[in-house]
Amino acid sequence: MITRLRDKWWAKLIAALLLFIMGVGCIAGLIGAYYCSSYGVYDTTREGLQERMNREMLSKYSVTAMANYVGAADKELSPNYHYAIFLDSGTGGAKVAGDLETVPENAVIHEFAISDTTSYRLADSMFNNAYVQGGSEDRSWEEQIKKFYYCLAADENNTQVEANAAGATAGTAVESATANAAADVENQTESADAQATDGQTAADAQAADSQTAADTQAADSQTAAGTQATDSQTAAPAQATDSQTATAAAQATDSQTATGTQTEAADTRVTAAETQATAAASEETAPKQPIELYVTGQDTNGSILYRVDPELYRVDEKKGMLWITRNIGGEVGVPGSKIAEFDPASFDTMISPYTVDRFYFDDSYGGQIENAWFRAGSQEEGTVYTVAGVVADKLVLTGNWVTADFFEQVQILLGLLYKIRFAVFAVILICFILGLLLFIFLMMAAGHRGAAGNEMLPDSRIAAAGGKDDARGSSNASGDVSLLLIDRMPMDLALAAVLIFSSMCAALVLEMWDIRASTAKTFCAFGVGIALSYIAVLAFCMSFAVNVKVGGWWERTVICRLWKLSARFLRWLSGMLGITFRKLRESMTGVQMGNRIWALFVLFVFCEFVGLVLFRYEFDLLMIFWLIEKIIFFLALMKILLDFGKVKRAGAEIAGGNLEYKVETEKMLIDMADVGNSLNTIGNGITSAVEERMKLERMKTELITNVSHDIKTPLTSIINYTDLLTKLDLKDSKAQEYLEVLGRQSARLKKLIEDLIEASKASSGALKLDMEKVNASMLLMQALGEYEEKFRRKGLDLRVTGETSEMMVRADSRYLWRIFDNLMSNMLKYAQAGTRAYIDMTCDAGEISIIFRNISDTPLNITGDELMERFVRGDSSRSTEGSGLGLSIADSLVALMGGTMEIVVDGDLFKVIVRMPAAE
Amino acid sequence: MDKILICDDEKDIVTAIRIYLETTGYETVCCYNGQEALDALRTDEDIHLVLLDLMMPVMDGYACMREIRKISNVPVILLTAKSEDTDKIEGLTLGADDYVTKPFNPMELLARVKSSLRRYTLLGGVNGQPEEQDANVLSCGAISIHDDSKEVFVDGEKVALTPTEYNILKFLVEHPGAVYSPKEIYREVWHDAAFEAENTVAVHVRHLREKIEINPSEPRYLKVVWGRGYKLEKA
Repeated sequence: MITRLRDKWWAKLIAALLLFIMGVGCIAGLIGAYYCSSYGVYDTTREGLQERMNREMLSKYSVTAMANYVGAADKELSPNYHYAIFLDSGTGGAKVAGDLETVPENAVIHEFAISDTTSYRLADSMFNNAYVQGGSEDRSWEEQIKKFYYCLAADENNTQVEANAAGATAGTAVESATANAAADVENQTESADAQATDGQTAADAQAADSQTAADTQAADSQTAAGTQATDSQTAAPAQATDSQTATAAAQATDSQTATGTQTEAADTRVTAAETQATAAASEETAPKQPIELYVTGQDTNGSILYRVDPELYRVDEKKGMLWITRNIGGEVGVPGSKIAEFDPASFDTMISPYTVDRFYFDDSYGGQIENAWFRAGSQEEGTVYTVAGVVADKLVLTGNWVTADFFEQVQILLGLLYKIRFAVFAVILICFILGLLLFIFLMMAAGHRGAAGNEMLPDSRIAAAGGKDDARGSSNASGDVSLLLIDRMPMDLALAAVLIFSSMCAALVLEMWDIRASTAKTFCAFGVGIALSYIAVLAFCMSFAVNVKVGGWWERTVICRLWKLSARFLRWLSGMLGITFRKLRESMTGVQMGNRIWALFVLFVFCEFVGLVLFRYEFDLLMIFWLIEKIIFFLALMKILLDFGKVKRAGAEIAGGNLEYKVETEKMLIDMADVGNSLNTIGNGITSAVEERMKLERMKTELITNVSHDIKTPLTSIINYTDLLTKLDLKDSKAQEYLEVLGRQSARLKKLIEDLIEASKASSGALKLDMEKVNASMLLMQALGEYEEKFRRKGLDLRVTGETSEMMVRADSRYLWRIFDNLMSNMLKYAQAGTRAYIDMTCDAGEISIIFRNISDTPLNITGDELMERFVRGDSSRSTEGSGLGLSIADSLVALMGGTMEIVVDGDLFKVIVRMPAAE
Repeated sequence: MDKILICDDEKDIVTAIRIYLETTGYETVCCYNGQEALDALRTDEDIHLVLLDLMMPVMDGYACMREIRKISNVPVILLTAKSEDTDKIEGLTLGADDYVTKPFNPMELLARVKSSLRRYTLLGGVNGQPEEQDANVLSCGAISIHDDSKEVFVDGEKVALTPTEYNILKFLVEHPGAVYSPKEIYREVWHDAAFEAENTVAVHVRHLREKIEINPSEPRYLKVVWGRGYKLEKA
């Protein structure tokens, strides 16, 4: 059922409302419980509570009144009464057990504890100015509150009459003092005077012993007067509380009547009524006057000033309350107008004999309370007038909170509290449990939008969907959770908004409370504030629940986003820094190295300077800065040295011949990398150059061998067949001649090719020389040995001169033989027959010179250098055997072996000088 | 007569050589690449000499040479235009008995053929008879000196030498492979202090070479170590 309900928006709404109610109930219950416990509802019975309440209430106000009571009577305050004593402030004091706050300075303080079992008698003299002031919570209620019932007459049964009479007497006494100063007994006057003028002493005297006074009165007129005085005094307080007493005082002003009454009175207690009656009887002529008591504080003619505690009754604002005992009736008004009227018959005697009528002077009367008057009934025979200040023992509960005064309001409240004192707990518990269930329901239901009509779903699916649904923003079949737009709001923002809103509402409510707006307005504001806050909080809770169900709420919060943003920002920043560094590095490659290094140096110095300036006062920071700088420097230096080392090694390797060595330049500093790259390039270059050169050499050699091979093969056939032809022994002489030519020429061709190959090999340096120490002179001899025969046949006289000792040269012996062979073969071919040829060998300054000289057969008109050229022959007709390569080959060979060859042609003298370095 | 295998990719050359050889009286077998030569050798067991060219298609001379040496001890004379020393060394190292460069003197070729055949047969070849081992016979390779009769045979052929020449040759044959300076030879032979030794010795050696060598300019036995002296090459 719950799962079905959770889709329905109305279900959720109802739940929310119920939750609110439960919440309110909880809070109300808690408040009730608080009040209950603070009022001590749990400690005592209903009655006890009542008493305590009364005590508390009355403890809050002090009642002072000014009244003038002239009379002496010790009035006993009986127990079980509530007393309110109204006196002239400043002239006397009595303190009801409790705290006294405004006791006049010269007041006589009597602390009297009034309990059920004791009574207190105020001396007559005291009555004038006695006052009762507040109780305290410390005392038992019984002690604090007593009804003070003041009677004008000192009669047990008719204390009221006495009071009145006393009041009247008091008034009369005053007048009699003045009017009848001469008449009667001087003592009376005196006493009257004394009593009249010295209210306090009279009061005191009266207070001391009212009975005695009464007795005295009985015995003596004077005494009677005194008694009366006492009585009147007694009356006076009564009057003070009650305008009826004023009436008594007024009656008392009727001195003659009063006096008459007094003198006639035999009893101590003369009811005011009697007095009045007597007075009335005696004074037939005197009309019945209503007792007018002016509520004022100044007039001693029975007018009383009624003041009450400003706290409670706002006397400062000229409000007050007039207490009127019943059965006196009367009217109350302010000068010029009557305000209210009291109907004595209205008193409900059934409930209590002491209920009072009261009139409350509120602030509409302004300052008129001082001059308010009370006029009470008329002095009719048998009428009992009671003018007293009374505090009700039992408050009359109108039950109407609005019109009830504070006492009653408290009364009502306490009654309520008492009734509910146990109920509150039940309420709290039930409200709490129900509220919790509703809250849980709401949380479970949160987010389920539901489609109408789609209610029946298997439980498993609902359970699965409800708990772990990941659907976002798609409100499909019932059981799926979706997010409304507002739910997408980041949770932390929502929380903050709710909190702010609630505090605003609270602030508003407090504001209203502070300015003491009317209760209605305050309650309105309070209600609205609470409701709005509640809605906001609930909405937040539900939104949060939805978010949790859908998942990913943390990612949507502002905090998380900010975190990610800052993380991304930091990453971007580091990326930027990285890019900046790379760009810086790249841009720096273009700048010259020296400038770069100097720029870095300047930057470094500048940083140092900045650091010094910044930290010059904080040595610790400066130290840290220095340390960091040194570490950076160390690292940089390390890097530089490593790179340099690598480059240096590369250079050494390449110089040493390891051309393949490559140095890795990827991670080096820019300039080191350049050097490294250059070295690599050099290595590559050299390698490729060497390879190129070797290839060329190989090509050359291959060319020579291939070509020579290709030429030699056909030549072989030519020679062979020519030879064969020769062997055929042809008879034709011409054929023989031609064959001879063929043979000769093919031989020459063969020689030519051989020489050509030799020459090209020698000149290209493709020959591999085995240089060693060779005995040149021996070699020459060996060569001579080879050619001696041939020279002899040609008729050349070969002379060898020079030192014959061993001359060592550094040469390849085979090729040296070739050189000699070539030169001597030349001599053989081109020297003139019959001439002498010389070969000279000398050693001179580390150099060995071999000179070949001969006379040329044909004239040489060609220079030596030209002769050494290839294919140049001395015989310009080119008819002899030679190929023209001999000298060229010899020259190349000599050069290869580190020597020099020089040809000097001088007329017909042909000279070849070969110089070779000596080997020793 | 002996059968000779001629192998060269140049037909003309083969024909020419064949004519020479057959005129001299040898039998010939002609091939034009290494593979044919191998096949001929395998089939015909009567071949006493092989004339082998180096640059041939299908199988060149070197490979053929190697193959030949695996199956037979028959003398091989390399015929080639490659005249470099390195080529000669390589060829002889591979097992050739002689090396002739093109273009060649047909007479020289014939002489070498004869010498190689003689050696082959003399040294226990197919048809050879073992030579008499005489205590007084000094021999080094193809040269043998009969001291008793003061006769010198090179490749079986008698050579006429002068007494000086004979002494020099004998001296050198007694120490084959050793290099002797002219002075030493002079002292040994003339028993006299060397005076102008180089010239005299050189001349004599020259004459000696002309007599015993097929090609004095390219001696096979008596070699000149230029600047050092002379030696007799070991066999």
